[in-house]
Amino acid sequence: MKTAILLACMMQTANPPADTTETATVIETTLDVLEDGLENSASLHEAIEYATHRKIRLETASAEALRSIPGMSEMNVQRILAWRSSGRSIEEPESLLRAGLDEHAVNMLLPFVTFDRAAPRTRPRIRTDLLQRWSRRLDLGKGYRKDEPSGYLGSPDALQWRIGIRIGEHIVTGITLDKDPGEPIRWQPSGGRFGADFAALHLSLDQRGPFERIVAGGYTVQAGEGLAAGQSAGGISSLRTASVDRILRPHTSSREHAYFRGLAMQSKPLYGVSVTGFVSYVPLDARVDTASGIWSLASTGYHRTQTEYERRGQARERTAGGIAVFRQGSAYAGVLSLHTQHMLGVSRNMHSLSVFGGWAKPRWEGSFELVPKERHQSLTVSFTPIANASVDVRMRKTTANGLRPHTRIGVNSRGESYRYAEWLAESHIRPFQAWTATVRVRERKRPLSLLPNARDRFVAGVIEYKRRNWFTLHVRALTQTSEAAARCLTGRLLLPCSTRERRQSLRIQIEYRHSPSLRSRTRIETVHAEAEEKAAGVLVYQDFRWKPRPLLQLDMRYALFDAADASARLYMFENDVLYGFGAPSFHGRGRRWYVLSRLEASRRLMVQLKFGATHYEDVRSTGSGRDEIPGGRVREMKVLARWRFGS
Amino acid sequence: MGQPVFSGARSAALGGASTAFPDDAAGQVNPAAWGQTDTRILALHGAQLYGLPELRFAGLHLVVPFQRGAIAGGASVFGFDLYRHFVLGAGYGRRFGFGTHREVHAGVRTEWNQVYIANHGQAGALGLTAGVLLPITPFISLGAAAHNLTAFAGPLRSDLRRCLAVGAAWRPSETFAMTTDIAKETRSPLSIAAGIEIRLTEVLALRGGIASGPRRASGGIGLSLASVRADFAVQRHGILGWTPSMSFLYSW
Repeated sequence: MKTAILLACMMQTANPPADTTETATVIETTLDVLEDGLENSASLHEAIEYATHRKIRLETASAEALRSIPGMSEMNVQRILAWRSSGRSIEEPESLLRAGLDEHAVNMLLPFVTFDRAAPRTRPRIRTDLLQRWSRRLDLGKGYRKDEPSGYLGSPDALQWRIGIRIGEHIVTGITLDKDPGEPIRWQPSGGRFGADFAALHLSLDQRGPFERIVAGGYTVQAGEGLAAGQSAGGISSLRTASVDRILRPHTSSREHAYFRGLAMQSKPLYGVSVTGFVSYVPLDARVDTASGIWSLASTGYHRTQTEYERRGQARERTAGGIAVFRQGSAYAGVLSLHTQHMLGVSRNMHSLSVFGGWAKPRWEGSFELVPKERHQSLTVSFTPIANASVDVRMRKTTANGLRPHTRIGVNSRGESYRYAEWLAESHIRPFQAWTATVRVRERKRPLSLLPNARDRFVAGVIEYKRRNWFTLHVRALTQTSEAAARCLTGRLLLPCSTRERRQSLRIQIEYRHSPSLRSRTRIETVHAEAEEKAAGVLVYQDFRWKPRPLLQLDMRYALFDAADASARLYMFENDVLYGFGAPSFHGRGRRWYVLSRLEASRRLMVQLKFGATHYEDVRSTGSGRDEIPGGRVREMKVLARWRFGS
Repeated sequence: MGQPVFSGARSAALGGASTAFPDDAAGQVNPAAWGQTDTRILALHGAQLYGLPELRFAGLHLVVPFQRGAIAGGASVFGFDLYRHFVLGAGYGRRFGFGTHREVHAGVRTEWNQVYIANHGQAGALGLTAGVLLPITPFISLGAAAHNLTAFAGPLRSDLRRCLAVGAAWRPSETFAMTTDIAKETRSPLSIAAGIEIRLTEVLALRGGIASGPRRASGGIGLSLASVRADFAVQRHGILGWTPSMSFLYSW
């Protein structure tokens, strides 16, 4: 549930001119639990970082502001409001414990709140953030050779520019330009190319007249549990619950899909009633299978080769929708109506109507969304039976018909149906002071055409011992099984069959905070996998975070990994430059190291530099296709500069 | 050069589990050991792997502390007429506070490895090893050492063993210590070692240890007489047999 709560907070944050390096510790443990649910983590990272920079004063914050805090459940909002209304103050973290929040919840909130009673600092009239990022792999694949006829169209440099301007409290505007490695820089205004391969622009006005928010340009919408309107058709691990108060969010990310472009408005015409309307027109990457006539959307955003370039903007997506929400105290109910039209030669239409709602009691909290026409259902329930224990259950069921914004429901690239029924349960128990135990179980029933009863199951248990703030022992055991349809050679025939992959891992991690300037972390992890063959993997790493000067920070890691094959792969979260995110997986035998430095060169300029290298032992090449690199060494370098004016 | 006997008989008796419990003039297990040295140390190590005279090892090391840490240097030789491995090393270790009164010990060691094989010639490589020792409470310490973190020069640089060892030690009193190590070499499976030291008197200490990869058991004694210490250890490998080793340390 911790992940779900964190994901939920995304929609409650506005433009994030944010720093992602500091939040790594906040979300890392959460992300580590869900190795297969990282696809939206980069934007999650940004949202959480933004929240850390706009700390909310618990003593005076409104209910709406409290709800916008990452990790804050409705139950805890009610507890804080009740505590304050009884005339008691919140001057320290212990006050939250006395108000009824458990220590786990308090620790989650601390990065985002302040107990300071002083008046908040006055915001600058105009604040401008200018960010430039360059990154490049130093060892290049054959796709970058000039004599390669089917090579990449552009240079291996990855470039990103971001400009964010905040005027007072109510106006935010920004531009994001992005070029991925291998993409060309082309200036063709007539064709919609303005140098960088991707451009996003937005203007957001808050609290203007009758409108809570008006967004022109790129934006995202979140309502209900993300069934009818969300950024992903994925399962529970990427589900976000509704933000009733902040449904619209400007799209500032370099993510090139899963967002709307047009005009959106949210207003509160009556007390407790919120109404949102939006229209969007977005070009999408698409291709048509000439043999079957089936067309599919591409979501990578890559336009590095001639083939990828030709599918750029081949389809068009028109969307219009409206959302009405009524809130009374800690309960809310809403309805969403959405019309989406995909056009690629023949237009395909989808109309969706969903109903959602939620409620909270001191020990109960729940939310739901129903899409009657398509028989999509989602339900989330949280229960805190005693002060030191909580149980969260989430269930979701979808069917395989219709279209959705940003994606095409029905089949994925492997021809597998998206239809599934899924449930997730998580329980936190704090049996003793400093000890926390978490159990997380997820099961997804995902009927495939050749395997009607295919199931994926995920069970993780985490025990954490935290001695004050300077020593943490983290032990995680995980077992994961997944089934997939395949064709097996039986005699001379290829017949339908199923394959089952099972992964079991054990992780021990020790984190020691020697002083504010030095932190060390040691991790040992083993993986045993059973797919076609048994395989084992092991990872050992040691990392340090050192702040030799208040304005200089160094993150260093040295890791050795040894995994027999991809089924025994090992994941490691990596600190990265601003708006970067890394949770790469490793298999084979080798070592990985990196150094990330961050220098606050002046009040206005922050510079980051990252250099990392992975060395694989006993291999002739790494990567495949156009990215195949001779030898076993892969090095990359990243440089980022952020200029901030007006703060 | 991955055998614990190369770093002294004390480490060998503990099964090599001394990354977080180093007392190692050679700095072979963890060069951070130099950072906790207050006296000059002259150490002599000797071992004969599996009782074979062709696999003899001898090393001489000197550690000299000064106001800003300690410098160390030494040389060792392993092998026989047809195969010989020379190591010439130097390093530096010191204490750091990092803003608190508690100490962190850190050290680096660089060493030139030269291998001679009769009728094939000789080749060498320069490697860099770094280690850190974190005494997190008076009774518990953590340690980590990255061996041959990087290799700078020489044709053998790709053949240097690269290893990351992490360890923890628990010493509830002056007379008892328990220590464990987990080490991963890039080309070998994960190795786990554990050791125990019981100091019966101020003069006599008993030690024992076990380790995996390869599986072995070890034991030994330590004798401390004023500024002289003598350590003796034997290590038993199930197939290859016994490895005796000894160390003499003189500190002043």
